[in-house]
Amino acid sequence: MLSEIGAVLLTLSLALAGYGVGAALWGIRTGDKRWAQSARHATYALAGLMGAAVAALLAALLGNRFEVRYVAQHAATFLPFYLKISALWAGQQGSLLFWGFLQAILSAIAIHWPKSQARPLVPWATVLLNLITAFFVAMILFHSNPFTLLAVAPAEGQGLNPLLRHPGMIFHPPALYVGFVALAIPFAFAMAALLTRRVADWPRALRPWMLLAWLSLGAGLLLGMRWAYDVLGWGGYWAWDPVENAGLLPWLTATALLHGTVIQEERRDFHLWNLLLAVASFALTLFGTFATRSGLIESVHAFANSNIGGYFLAALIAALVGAGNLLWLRRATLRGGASSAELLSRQGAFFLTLLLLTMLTVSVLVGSLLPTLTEILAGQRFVAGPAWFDRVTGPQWAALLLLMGLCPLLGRTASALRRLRRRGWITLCAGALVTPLAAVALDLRRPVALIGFALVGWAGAATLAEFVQGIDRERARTHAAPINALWRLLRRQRRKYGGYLVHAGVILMAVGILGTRLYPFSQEATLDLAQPTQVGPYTLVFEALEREPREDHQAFWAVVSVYREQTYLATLHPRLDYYPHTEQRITTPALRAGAREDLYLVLAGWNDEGNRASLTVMINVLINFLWLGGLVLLAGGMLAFWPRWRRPAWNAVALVSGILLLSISAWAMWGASHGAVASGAGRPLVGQPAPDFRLPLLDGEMIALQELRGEIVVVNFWGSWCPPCREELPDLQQVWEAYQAHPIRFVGIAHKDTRSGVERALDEYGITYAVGLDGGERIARRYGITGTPETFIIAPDGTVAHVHIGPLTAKMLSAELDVLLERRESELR
Amino acid sequence: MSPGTLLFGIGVVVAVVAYVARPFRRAPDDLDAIIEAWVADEARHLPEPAEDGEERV
Repeated sequence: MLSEIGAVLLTLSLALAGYGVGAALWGIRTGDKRWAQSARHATYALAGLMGAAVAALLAALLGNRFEVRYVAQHAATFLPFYLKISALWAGQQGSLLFWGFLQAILSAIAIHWPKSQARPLVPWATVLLNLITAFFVAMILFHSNPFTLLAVAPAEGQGLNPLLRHPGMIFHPPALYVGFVALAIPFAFAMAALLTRRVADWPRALRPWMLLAWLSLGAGLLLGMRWAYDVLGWGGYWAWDPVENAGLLPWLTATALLHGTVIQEERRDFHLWNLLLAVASFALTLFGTFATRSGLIESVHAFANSNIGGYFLAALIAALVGAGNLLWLRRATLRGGASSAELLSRQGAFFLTLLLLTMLTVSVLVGSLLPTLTEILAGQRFVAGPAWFDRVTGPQWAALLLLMGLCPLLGRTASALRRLRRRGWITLCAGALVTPLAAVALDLRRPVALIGFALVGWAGAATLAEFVQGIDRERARTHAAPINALWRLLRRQRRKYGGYLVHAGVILMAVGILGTRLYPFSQEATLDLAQPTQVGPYTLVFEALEREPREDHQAFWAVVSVYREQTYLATLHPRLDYYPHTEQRITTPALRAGAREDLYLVLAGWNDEGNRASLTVMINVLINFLWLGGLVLLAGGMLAFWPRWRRPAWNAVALVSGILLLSISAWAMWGASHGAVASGAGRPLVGQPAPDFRLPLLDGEMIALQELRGEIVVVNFWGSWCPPCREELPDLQQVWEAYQAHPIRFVGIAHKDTRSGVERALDEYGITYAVGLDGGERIARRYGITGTPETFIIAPDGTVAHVHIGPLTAKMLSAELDVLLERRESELR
Repeated sequence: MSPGTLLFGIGVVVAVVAYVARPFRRAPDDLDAIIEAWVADEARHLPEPAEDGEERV
């Protein structure tokens, strides 16, 4: 039934989209407003029908209707609610339906609430937007229908691809899709502007849509980067994968478009640039979809066995040919506008920015297509890897940073150089000096890195100076405190200071990119149980290998304590999930975030006994600047995007929502555990002083570790409830008896135990050494134990000589005590 | 196709057609305007009162 309803809704949607196109065209031809209005009604109804189709598929996913092929392939009864929702866009059919729905709903919003300058463009925009929606609905209905049924419904679904089982999956694809769809709106209105010969004002009217697209794509890309970092376990965040690039390309052109429209509004210039950028942004979304769904490019993210790439190629060609033709026909309209020959002016700097962003777009596009192009032209695939992209795009990013520093200081008119000399060169140069010095202090001294940091400082100083000058002006005007002045500034000039916040975000991200790209650290390490291993500046101690069966997989994780310069930092749990049905091994890294760097551990394997683990250890230098910069960039984008509501309450809601959203994002990055376990203290390492303790013994005596200085002390944490501890007790007693004549003391510390239980166990095994109860786990916490039994052998000087995690045999213990006794004898001699 | 789906489809089609065709529907007659026009028309045809207050025969 749900499947039939879905099919009915899609069929009606296609008919309605077709009607919307026809009615709008007829309205334009006849000038009859009723047809134009009817076309708009069709657009609104289309959004409703597509929404109902999405609701039908969601109901099938949430209701485990496995007779629907898509549901059987992407859902399972054990999936949590949020992942069942995200299954909507996890597969090709569902994602196209979702895309079509977004296309319909955003089109309806765009034509229902156009800005005054865009009103004359609405009829043509209705034609184009309905045409685009019709294309998607036709794709869904004829080639990628999510409502097709299976002949026999399976009892259980295949579930979501394990790689996609991540909370970020609920936000990342929708954010990208909103971005892609929102770029269709400026394209449609730009074409309408050309058709109606009103090319002057469309950018101002469409600015919110460009910002929405830019913001959503930016959020989607950042979420994708963070997802890659948290889930994929390769330690990076951006691999220059063609599918990643497919999201980056329209973001770059949207960035250029946003800059270009500023000049069109201010100086009535860049008409052609902006139209071309609107077309390019839309075309690149089509290209990205074509590339990922046609098998043209190889990528881990690409949709396998997709048959719709050709249709997207046809749509891309149609869009380019149509737009090109229209631009040619209206070339006379596009001439004119003020023009400045000076490159060292605000307009000139914006022009260079557009040029650089376009060059970057072309570079990334060429790099993504290089394997295919070289195969066609030379018969051999040349894959452009991260090194190629870094080499080609690195200087261009650097030039952008340079411009970012110059732009705010340049005036709108000539004499910019004088203005620059007067206002800012000292600030810029100071910034360009201070940051490399800070980098040197952090031991980051490669020349290329220092050049990068100088550019970062240059651009950062310019941005900071803008805020400081703005605050000064505001304070002179209102006599407000600096923080209040900043607040007023952000409220009054959202667009300007939102833009500067975005610049600040980009600058912070550049710091992170410099650190991670220029100072990579990765090392394979094999860790033996309880043995400290030095990796880079960190000491790692493998404590245990844990395993747990889950619904459809086995989860394994290593417990690894991390120390730096003998100080305990954290306990990390790098995980590996094994899915027997698909034989997939998914590693989930554990990381300890720090201001200078992240320590990133990936569990690679272990031996059968579980006392040796292989880890990939990575150190990601300055990576948190990247995430912080991402948040600042989004905050700036939101500030610039958010409309000024007339009702103060709405503004307050907007502010609180924005702060909440950013706080949740910050918590997800730095507040959530990411495989790190909070622990008061770690075990003392070999060679470190053993933490002192006083333990009341069962016989009423009190024992203090400090008073045993000069003797060898065996401290055994155990429990009468713990079978391995009970197995170990006879061995301990045996050694204790054998070494009575030597200066050796045994102390048993009963952990999480009761007096009666301990007394029964001592009687049963005939234990005669000192035993006491660790009330409140006071001593266990100081020794950082994670289970029982654990044994610490303390040398006469009070330092830890050996640590044993797990049961100990008499032979092992005797061997270690003999060595210590021998050392003690030689020291006494 | 099940009867339920068919009914659902017909219902949706009717609702959508009604909504899309709304701009073409004739605006409903303004009753107030009709009444006012009728009153004005009737008033024009009423006999004028005599100067002495008596009705003319």
